[in-house]
Amino acid sequence: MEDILTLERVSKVYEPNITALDEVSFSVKRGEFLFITGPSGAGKSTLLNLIFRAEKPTSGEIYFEGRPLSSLKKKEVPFFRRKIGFVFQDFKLLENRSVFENVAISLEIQGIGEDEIRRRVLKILERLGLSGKETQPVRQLSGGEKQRVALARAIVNRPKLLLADEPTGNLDSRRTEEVMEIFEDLNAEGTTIILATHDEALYAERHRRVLVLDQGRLLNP
Amino acid sequence: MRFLKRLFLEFRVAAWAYFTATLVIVLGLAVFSFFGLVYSNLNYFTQKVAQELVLNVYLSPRITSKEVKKITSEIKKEPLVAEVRFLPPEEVLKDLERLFEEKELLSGISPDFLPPVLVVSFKDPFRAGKSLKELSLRLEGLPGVFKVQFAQSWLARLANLRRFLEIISLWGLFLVGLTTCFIIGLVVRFSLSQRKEELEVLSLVGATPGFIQGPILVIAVLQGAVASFLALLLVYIVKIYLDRALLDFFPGFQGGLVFWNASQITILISGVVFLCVLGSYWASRRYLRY
Repeated sequence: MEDILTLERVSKVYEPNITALDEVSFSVKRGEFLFITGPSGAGKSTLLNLIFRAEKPTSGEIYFEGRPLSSLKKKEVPFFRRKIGFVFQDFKLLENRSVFENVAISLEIQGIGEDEIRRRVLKILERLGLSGKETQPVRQLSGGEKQRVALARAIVNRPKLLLADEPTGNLDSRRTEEVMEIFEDLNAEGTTIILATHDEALYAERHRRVLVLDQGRLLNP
Repeated sequence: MRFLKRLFLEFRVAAWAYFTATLVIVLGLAVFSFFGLVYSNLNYFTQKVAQELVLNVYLSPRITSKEVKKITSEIKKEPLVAEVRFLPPEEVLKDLERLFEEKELLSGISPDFLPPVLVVSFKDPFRAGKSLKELSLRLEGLPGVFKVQFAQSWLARLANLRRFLEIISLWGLFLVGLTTCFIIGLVVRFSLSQRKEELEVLSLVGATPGFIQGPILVIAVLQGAVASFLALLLVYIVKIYLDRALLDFFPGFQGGLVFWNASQITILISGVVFLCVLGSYWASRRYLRY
């Protein structure tokens, strides 16, 4: 199977001299479910941010579907991001807007018709156990519910690649299992997934490739 | 339709921020336009007073009407002259009677004793002021002219007063204008900084700058237009009050302060709208992550 993502000696150094990532190289095959693990501060979030083009690497190159991200023009970035779903560690939800509006925004920005948006959003909310909460403002939700809204927003767009940064960090074990099931289902439907977590229990016994980061270095390239 | 919905949503989520920002802009702008109003009126008032100061050309008592016409047409050749009015001795006496409260001072004076007068007023007395001396010397040389008199010292004082007001008011207006621009920029930026995370999120989920900034810029246009309209309305209400309050304050003042004219209002509203749009554009641009 072809590579959907390739990182070549990617480094990220923050001012004044903090190395978050140090010459990280790996490839991800289309349809793969990859775990990235490591302790807090290992560089997991930085790595996902670089793949998402939320930040730029200090050196090295990232290729998405064969195209180097450094060649992306500023105006192309939004269109690139629409191909990728991102479940942020801090959710990054619009707190004053409703659950429905938060999920629908991913489709609205693409100019999809209202009926289609409604159909797809309600379907995804139902799948994630959020039916009945469509009109509720996000600020009134629990941490676990917010996590699921963030996941719904990331996948409603049917992305080619799904990035998830500690997506079960705020969930109890039952909800964690449910969310992991959703990730498995999405992967079975063909979505490539990169999931960053420090929780070993998430990837144990799943027989998926696991990359270990420590102090910005990949320990098992 | 969808854009209108987004516009409404944009306003709904930040209604309080937009409301307070608009209110601050209204107040800043009201102070600016009030200072503008003060300047315009002082300028207008000194101009009006200056126009009252006229050039008096005293004619020989036995002057013929033909000679009067000749002198009048000679004066009218001056491009700065607005009007030349002939006062026969009878009219001059009436004027003097109006001027002196003690009627006894004029008892026994017959019109024959007084010279007829040509009263010359100018379009722009301040501009005419410089050439008045030259003109009066020229007129004194004409046959039939007895004496030429004008209030040069008063005109000079008024010109100085006008220049003083101009300097003070224009600098005041400039400083208040600068402060207003600063307030508008700051308020717009502050109201958007409260929504920093929201703008950041929209850019992260793949919204284009146009999608994010479109409603913000349209609201900025509305904000600028509403704020300038309310500020002008506020100053207009103050003007109406002052018209009544200042009535009979000054001799000859019959109310009716001058207000901004249509082109000034258009420039003011356009300027405020432009500032709001520019401020919103730059402030929102800062929070987009591309």
